[in-house]
Amino acid sequence: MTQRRAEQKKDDEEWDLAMEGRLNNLAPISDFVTAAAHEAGLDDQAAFAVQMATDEACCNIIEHAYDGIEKGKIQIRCRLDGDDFVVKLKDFGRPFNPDEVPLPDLVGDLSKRRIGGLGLHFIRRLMVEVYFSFDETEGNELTMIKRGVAHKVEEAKKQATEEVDAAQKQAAARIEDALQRAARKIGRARKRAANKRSHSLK
Amino acid sequence: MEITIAQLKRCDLVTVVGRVDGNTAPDLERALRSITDDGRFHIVLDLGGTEFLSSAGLRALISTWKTARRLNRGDIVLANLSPKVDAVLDLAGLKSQFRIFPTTAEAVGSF
Repeated sequence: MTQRRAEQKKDDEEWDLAMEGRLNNLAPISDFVTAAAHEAGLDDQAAFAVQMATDEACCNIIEHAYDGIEKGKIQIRCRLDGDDFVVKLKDFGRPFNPDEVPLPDLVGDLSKRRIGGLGLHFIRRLMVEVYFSFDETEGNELTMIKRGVAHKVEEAKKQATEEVDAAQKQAAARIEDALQRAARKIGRARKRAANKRSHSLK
Repeated sequence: MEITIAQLKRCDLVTVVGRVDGNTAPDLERALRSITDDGRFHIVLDLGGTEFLSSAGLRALISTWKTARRLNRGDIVLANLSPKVDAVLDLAGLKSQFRIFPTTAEAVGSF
């Protein structure tokens, strides 16, 4: 990543990356958000949704805000906020009005469908909340939220606790069983020894 | 992303491994266009090794679908989809439009 002039920072619940806005940086950006999402406790499916939405948004920034030429950076900030995994993307390119992007046709005959608008459609479908803000001096910011992280972490903790309990119960049952078998064996051995003694006395 | 093209008796088998995103989709589109430009319009796209497919990749698929089907001269069919790629096609409303096969052998056999 150093060859790509990335600046990366990670706190306990915050992950930052800044990269030049060019298409061959899409893969490392995807790797970065996927790793952050996994560290935050998202499952594979939710992490893939975050990766997909971020890739589409960064591709739009590079191709449209920066006109496909290397004009500036993309700042990526992922943050865990309670139950939310929040991804903020910042660029300093040309602003656009997301409401002017036509909705894609998803049901008509493909031969007659107009191609376009799928990227924004994916972002809106894959993330729970999506906000745009545009500012000529401060830059453009896209906020995308995936919800239910804490819930998933709690579920995983609960499942892990249940698995440990079950394993402990199984181990206790096995020990109890082994003790009973050992006790029976000792009983039988004592009986045999007693029988032997009574035979030898006779 | 790695693309391999095998010219079979009745169709071309194109295998795509890795990421198809805004950076690599133009390579996929060029590879598919090289087949249709040669006048071959029966194509099987094996996506078993495709770990990521963005809207840019879908545009390459749609463009080839339109070229191949023009004048009923052929088709591009998809095979061996991972659950993630399957979900992307579903989200784009494309599962009802592309012919999709569970295995490459079935897809090749469909021509």
